[in-house]
Formats: sequence, C-alpha cells, structure tokens
Amino acid sequence: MFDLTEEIQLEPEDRRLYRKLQVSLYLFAFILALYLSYLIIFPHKYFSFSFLNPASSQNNISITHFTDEAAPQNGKITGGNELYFDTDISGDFSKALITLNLNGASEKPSAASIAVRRSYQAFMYNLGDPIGWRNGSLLKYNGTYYIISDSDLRKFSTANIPVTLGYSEKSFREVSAEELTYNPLGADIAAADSYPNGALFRIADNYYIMNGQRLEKFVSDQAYLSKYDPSAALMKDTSFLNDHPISDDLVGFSDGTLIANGGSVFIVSNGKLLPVDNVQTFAGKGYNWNDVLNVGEDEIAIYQKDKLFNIKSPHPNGTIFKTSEDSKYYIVENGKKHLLPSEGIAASWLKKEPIMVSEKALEIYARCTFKKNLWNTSNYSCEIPLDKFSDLIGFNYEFSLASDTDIRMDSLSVDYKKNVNKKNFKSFAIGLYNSILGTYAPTQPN
Amino acid sequence: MRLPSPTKNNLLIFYKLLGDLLFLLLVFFTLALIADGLLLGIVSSHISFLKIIVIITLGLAAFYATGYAADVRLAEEHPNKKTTIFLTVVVAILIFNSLFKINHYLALFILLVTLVCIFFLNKLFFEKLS
Repeated sequence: MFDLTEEIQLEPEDRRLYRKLQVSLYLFAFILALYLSYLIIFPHKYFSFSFLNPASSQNNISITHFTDEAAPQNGKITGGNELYFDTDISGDFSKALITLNLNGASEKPSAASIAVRRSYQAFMYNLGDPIGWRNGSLLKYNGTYYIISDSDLRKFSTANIPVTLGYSEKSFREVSAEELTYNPLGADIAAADSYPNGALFRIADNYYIMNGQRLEKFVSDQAYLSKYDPSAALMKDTSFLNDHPISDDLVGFSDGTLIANGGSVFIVSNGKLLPVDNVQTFAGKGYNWNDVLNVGEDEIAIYQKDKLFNIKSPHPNGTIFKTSEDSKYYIVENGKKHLLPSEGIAASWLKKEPIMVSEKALEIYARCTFKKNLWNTSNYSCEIPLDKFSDLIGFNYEFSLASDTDIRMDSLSVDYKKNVNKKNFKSFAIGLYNSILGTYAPTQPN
Repeated sequence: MRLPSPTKNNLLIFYKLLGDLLFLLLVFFTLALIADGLLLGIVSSHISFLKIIVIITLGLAAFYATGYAADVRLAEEHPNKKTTIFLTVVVAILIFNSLFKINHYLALFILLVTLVCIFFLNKLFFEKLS
C-alpha cells in the first residue's frame, strides 16, 4: 500500500491503525465512485409541485386542469373530480414513483389512484373543429373553380374569370365535394376586374400576396415556399406594381417553420421567433434537421424573439402532426389540435416533414393505487411501471389523479427512475456515443 | 465533560489520512473536469463543481491546520518534473477542448499563447529572486 506522506513516520501500532483507516477511506471512495457512476448511468429525475407555494420557481410539474376544466386551487381535489398535471422528460425511464403529501387537516382517501399516458403535450390537446384549405389555395370541382380568400371558399362565377385573371387550369387542384365543406362559403367572384385577397403573384423575382387590395411582399423566396408552391403564383411584370398599392408589411414564414441564423435554431409562430434551447429539445420534440432553413438577418429582422422553446414547451401554433397508424394530420392552433380532414388539405398546410405521433398512444394508460406510507401517514405513494411507453413517441407524461374523498395536498412529487439492466445500460452507451458524435463529429456543410 | 485532547500520534494519523483524502479529491476533481470538458454536464448535472472546490478547500485547510497542530515541518519542495508535465498536458487538453468548435489552427495558437502566459506568470510569482 502506498504512502503519500512517507516522511511522517508512525509507531508500529499507529501505523497498523493508519493502514486500516487508509484502506477504509479508499474503499469508501471506491463505493462513492460506484454510486456516482450509477447516478450517471441510471439517472433519476425528480419533479415536484408545492401547493403551499405555487409560484415557486422550484415547481417543475405543470398543474393543468381538473376534469371540469376549472383551475386547481390550493391542492384541493373534490371526490370524483380528476386533477391533471404534466411532466416533460426526455429519455425512457423504467418507473415513476408518485408521492402525495397531504395537508394535516385533509381527509384521508381510501381509494386514490393515478393514471398516466405519454405523447407530446400539444397532441394531447382537446380536439377543435377541422380546418380547411390554406388561404390562397386554388381548387376546382366538377368544372367549377374556387379560391380560398380570407379563409373563405369563393367561387369564380364563370370558368372564364380565372382565365381572364391569368390563371392556368393546371394551377387549380381537383378536389372532392366534401373537401370544399371545411372552409366557410364566401361571396362569388363575379368579375375579372380585381384579384381577391389571397391571390399570389411573382413579380420581378419577388413573391407577393393580395391582402385588402394591397400587395404584401414576402420577405424572401424561402418564406413564400414555406407556405405555397411556386406554381400557385401568377407571373406579372413590374407594371402590375404600379397599378396596385404595396403594403409596408412584409409576409414571413409559415407558422411552425424551423429557421436557423447565427448558429441558433428558431421556430416561427404567431409572428414571433421561439429560440430552441438545445439539441436535445430539438430531437425530443420530433423535429428534423433537414427541415431547418438557413436564413439571413433580413429574413429574421421582421420578427421579435419570444421566450426560449425548451423540452417543457408544447409545440407552438402551426405545428402539424401525422399519426403513424392511419396517416391522419392535425394542426395545432391556440391550445387545440384540429384535424386536417384530407391529404390534399394537409398538403396545402404542409411544406416540411410533419411531426410523427401515435394516436393509439393516447389510449395507452398505466395506473396505480396510492398506499399510505408507513413512516409518514400524511404521505401516500404509488409506483407506475413505464415499460409500456418505451416505444411511444413524445416525452410528455400526462397524469390524472383521482380520489374517492375530498383531499387537500400540500405537495406532489414524481420521481422517474431507471432500473439497473442491460437495456438501460445500452441506452446510456448509445446516448453517450451520440453526444460525443454531436460534439466532435464535423458538421455537414449545407 | 471535557473531551480528551488528541495526542500527537493521533494528529499524525489524522494528518496522513487527510493527505490521502486530498489525493482522492484531487483525482476525482481532475477526472470530473476532463469528463465534463469532453461531455458537458455528465458530472456537473449530478454534483456541482463549486461543491467539489469547497470540499477540496476545506480539506486543504484541515490538512494544513492539522499539520500545524502536529508540528509537522516539511522541507519545501519544488513540484517535480513529472507532475508539471502531467498538469500541463491536462490543462492543454482542457483548453483545446473548450476551443474545439473554432478553427483548429486558431485554437492551437490560442493554446500556445495561453501556455506561454502561464509559464511566465509562474516565473513572475514563484521564481526565487537571485
């Protein structure tokens, strides 16, 4: 055994004691190193919410709503009502330990239970009304021509009108009668003397859209292509600009578009840019690097930056989900998901890869029933195995907590754990390899 | 009741154990620095470097205090060549790694300038006046 302070000589008896203590110290350090390795390889993630201090920055559980949509108050759950809360966590975990810390004055539940499902938070939104064609879409059905103008379906009264306005027949998409029912019916276009709102133009290498009888210029070709196909725009010469007033407002990218500038990636939504906080969030939210558009300063200058988009942020407005089971498309708008009722309608909104989701995942629940803890009678806990979620897409766990009696919680916690097994070790090794690759592998030139 | 005051022999044992503890802490700190430098957050997401540095500082203070109480007088030693080379290599790896995303030639140049600065600062502060 080596001695780092060999200049200090001890009596034989003291030396024996020192050796014993030294071995114990090194053994303790070794066990500590093993424990730290265990924490690194099989990490656990802890989430909590204090109802005594609901504004605390330490709270990392998002309390969402009750069954009756009322906002939760002071940790009270009335019998028969369900409290919904979310946690966002990347990576697969083996189990979740949920603990309720009841207020001393609270009734004790005899049957409290919790259910959990996993997907993306935005995909678990309530379903809104179906959404029809994108503004500016050109459609035809049974020899009749239509344009979507201000979200309304407007019919060209005669087949000659679109021809007079300069549209070619190829620009119009043949659709079914049903596909025409998802946009509200607008007034017919009876004359060819002006262009309706939503009409698209290509003039002197720029794209424009008609809005309020003024031409609004797209900030770039990329911005136009994030919404429309090149064939949707009418070619006009510069004299057209003299005949129509031009708006000062520039038209930007489609909501949900991913853009990159100066090493940062942003999501465009509601006229703002959401900066993506890191690579893990980007991958965890199902985005594809091939969909990121490199843009110039002039293209992002029209936007204000909004708060960081992190793993806890739901997908913003304009995000399009595609279900893996039956290729249904949904678009996120204002806290609801809306069905895009046909492939054609979806195509009018979709100019990049959709985010893949599983509709079945919304029906897959894991459940457990709370039991009183032996050492603290105000604490109730239960453990949910999460193995059945391991192949599902999305990292948002939505919990619904129910109790047979009225209860009042002081706090609530969820502790995600990984079992020590070969599968989790392999997952750690792959993650490590990918991190090294992400940090040190040369980036692909665009 | 008064606790018996530690004998000099006990203090010496404690002093030697503190030396071992410091060695372990420094090995852990070096490995943690290298691991976190290579993969950001792999260690620091579990234990902060501030805590490690505070523990090392407290260990160092206890080591010197115990040595003083036990009347340990060690001859002043200059760092040996092996330790100097080892520390220089570790520092060079960490600096180059932190500059990995920039042009490699520029990173090498910055590294070289940094090492030269460290060398002359060391000379300025620690070299004995002749």
